[in-house]
Parts: sequence; structure tokens; C-alpha cells
Amino acid sequence: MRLRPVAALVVLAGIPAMPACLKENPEGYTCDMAHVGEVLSGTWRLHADGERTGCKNRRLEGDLELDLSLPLDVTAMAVATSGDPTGEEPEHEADAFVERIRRADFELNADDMPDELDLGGSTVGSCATIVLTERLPGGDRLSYTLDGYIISSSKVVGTLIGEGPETCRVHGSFELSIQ
Amino acid sequence: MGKSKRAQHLGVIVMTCMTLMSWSRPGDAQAPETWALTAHSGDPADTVLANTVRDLLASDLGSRPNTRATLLSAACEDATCTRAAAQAVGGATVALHVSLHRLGQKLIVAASAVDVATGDSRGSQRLTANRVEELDVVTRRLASALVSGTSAEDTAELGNITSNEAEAPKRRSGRFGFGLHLIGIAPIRGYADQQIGGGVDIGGWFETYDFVIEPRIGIRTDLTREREAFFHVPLELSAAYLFTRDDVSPLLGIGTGLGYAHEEIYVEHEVGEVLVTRTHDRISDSLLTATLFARGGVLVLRTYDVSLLITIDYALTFGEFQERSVEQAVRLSFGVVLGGS
Repeated sequence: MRLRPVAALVVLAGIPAMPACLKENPEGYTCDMAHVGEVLSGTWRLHADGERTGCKNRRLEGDLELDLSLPLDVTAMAVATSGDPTGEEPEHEADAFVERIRRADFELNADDMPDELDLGGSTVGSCATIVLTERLPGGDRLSYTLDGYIISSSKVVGTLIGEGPETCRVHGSFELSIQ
Repeated sequence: MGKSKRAQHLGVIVMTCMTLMSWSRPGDAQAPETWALTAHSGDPADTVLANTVRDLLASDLGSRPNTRATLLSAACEDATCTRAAAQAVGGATVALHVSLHRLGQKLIVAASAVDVATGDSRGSQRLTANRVEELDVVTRRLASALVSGTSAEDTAELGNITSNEAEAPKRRSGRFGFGLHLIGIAPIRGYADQQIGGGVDIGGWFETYDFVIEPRIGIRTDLTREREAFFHVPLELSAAYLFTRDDVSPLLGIGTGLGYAHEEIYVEHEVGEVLVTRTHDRISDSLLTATLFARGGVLVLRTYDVSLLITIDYALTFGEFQERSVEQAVRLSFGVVLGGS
């Protein structure tokens, strides 16, 4: 009985930290095991639409389109799986071993990226979180976080939030194509 | 004991009050003054009238506390003569000479008082009446001024104001007219991303020898085919100095105003070299503005009822625009001013 409030507190505290992909999004995508992070390896092309607001310079605000000016070669590397993101553990250890390989989490890296660009990200099941940051010549920077779902072997869709330049905030949706 | 002390205090208070009262009314303690009067008129035909004024003044003086008045028969033309006459008669402390002069329809009454003993001036006063019937008011005011030592103008009260004083003071007249102006606007900052503009102003025109004051209202808009557009309705007031009184008069001035402004601009922006973001937006402002401007120009055909006005302004327009707080422009104006003085 005394543990129940503590458990409730732990659950409530954990909700904000829960990956967005574990919740169902408006488009109906869910964080399942249909496509996992390994499909992110390849050449990326990114397009996003949204809105930029809150800028010191009013002329920077407005409807926004984002594109990668050059394709990015990205490698998705499997990492140790932990926890139980998508379902119950199989009963037998052999099945569990196979399942862990199948649903492996991945980390994203890119080779031969432009110096001014940083890429980071990870996947849990079919959910992907990607962080792209570009340093601008004047010391300012653009930072975008793409939170989405791997919906096919070559496509990731989701929402985008970002910062920069200066005080600007960006929000919108993106589509990432992988070849 | 208590009662006697209270009585003592009461006595001190009463004595103090009496002392203060005696200080505040020194005239009460002074010996009566006797004023000896003579009269003189600028026109011999007004001698009787001058004597009437003297008699009225003597009556008014005599009715005041501690003042006596006596009439002298000497025909004096100044206060020195009056003093000599008063010394000859004896008993008078102040010699008062009253003179009456006509200036057109006006009757000017002047009174000069000197101390009989020392010859020192006791003051001179003058008042003007527009008609004979007002002379009793004039003498009453003069008597009050002479005794109190104040100016005759300061003795005006309801009931003793002369018609001459009641007249409204005349003012210098200027040239009132109307102006119609064509405006050209060359923006330096703002004005929907510096769109060339123009407009029409109408306004008043008040011109003196050296200054002109000009209120205006106008409609000004962009004259380009761009998507960007502005529309201003200013209400302005300017004042300028006119350097000459000739037909070609340069002018220099300043002005201020309030107005309504509507502006639309379309912005596009690209940021980033790898993560390329392009934004586009329409920024629309409708707001109240305040304007300050400096004006230089020339008024041509100034001496005619119809004049031409050519001016160039440097104007600052302040407002809570979304992406700026001030606009700047050079304005050129060609106008016509109609109306004589």
C-alpha cells in the first residue's frame, strides 16, 4: 500500500521522458517493429515544411521549407538493446536472443559530412529521433530535432522542432527519404 | 490664582492684537493730509469741464479717510505752480494739478501730485475716457490711485471700468488662406520597403510678415507596381520662418503630426548552407504614427493672392511597425496657396 503513491509518482515523472514514438501520433503511426533502424543506412534526402516564429528580426519569420542542400551518407549501427520497448520478452532465451537482434536499437553516424554539420540520432523500434545542427559563419547555429516513425524501408516521417538563427523557433513536419 | 493668570494672558493677547491692528493700518494713526487742487484744460473751451473734473476729484479725495481737499483758484498749468499756490494759501500738504486734454473723441485726464513742503513728487496718474459721462468714474479711480500710491490701471473694479478699457485690444492681422499640394515621397527607410510614393495634401495657411503656420491633412500612397504597398493619412502642423518679404521668399521650418498608416511588405529569407531553410511571409501593419519633419523651401509670388509653394522635407515617422520603429523619407511638395489678407 505504501509503495502505490511512489509508483504513481515514478510513472508520472516518466511520462515526459517517454519517447514520443511510444505514443500514437495523429497520422496513426505507432512505434512498432515493422521497420527498425537498420533501414536508415543509406543516402538521405530531407524535406520539411513548417513555420519559423519568435525571431528578433521579423523578416526571418514566416512559412518555412527546409531541404538538405546535398545528400548525406548515413550509417545506422546496432547497439545493445535494453528494456522492453515494444512488447513482452519471449519466454525462451533462444527466442529472446533472436528477438533482440531483430528489434535492435540503432545509432546514427555519417561519414564525409560537411564540417559545419553535426548529425546525431537513435532509433527504438520504428521510432527515430534525429538531431541535425549546422554552425553558421557568424557564430550562430541552426539546430533541428526530427522526431518520427520509420514507415517503410525508405521513408521516415514525423515532426520537426528547431532553433535558430538568433532567437527563432521552428516547428513543422518532415519527410526523410533513404536510398 | 488660576483666574488672575488667565486674565493676565487674555490681556496680553488683546494688547498684542491691538498692536498688530495699529501696525496694519498705519494711515489711521497719521494726521489728515490736505490736498490742494488746481485744474487746467488743453483747450480753453474745456475750462469748465476741467474745473468739473477738479471738483469731482476733490470730492473723491475728501471722501477718503484722513484726506481733506481744498480748491485753489490759481490758473496753473503744472504741479510746480500748484505747489506755489498751495504754499501761498497755506495749510495744504499735497499740491495736485489736474489737466484735461482731448485727443479726437478721447478725454485724457492726468493728475500730478507733489509734496508742498519738500516739492517731492507724490505720483502721477492718467486715465482715458471715451465720453464726458465717464469722467466721474475716472476721477474716482484717480483719487484711489493717488492716495494708495498704486497705478490707476490697477484700481479697476466692476462698476468703475471705462469703455476705453472695455474695448478688446486690436491685433495685427495676417494672411489667411488655403493650400493645395502635390507630394512626392522618396523613402530612405520603411514605406513598404522604400516604395516611391506620392499624394495630395490640403490645408490652411496663416502668414505674418516673417512666419507662416500651416496645418495640413493628406493622402499618400505608393506609386509602384510592386506587391509592397503603403497608404498614409497624415495630419500635420508646421511653422516656418520666411526670410524675405519679396515675391520670392525662402523659408525654413519644422513640423509635427499624427497619422494613420497601413503598410504591406512581402519578405523571403534563406538561412543555412547545408540545412537550407527558406521562409516567406507577408507583414501587414495598420497603426497610428507620429511624424517629425524639417522643412525648407521657397514661397513664390508672395505678395499676390495666389502664391506657389515649393518645399522639401526630411521626415521621420514613428510607429510600432512589426519590423521597424521609425521610417525616414525625403518629401518634395509643389503647392498653391490661395487667399489674401
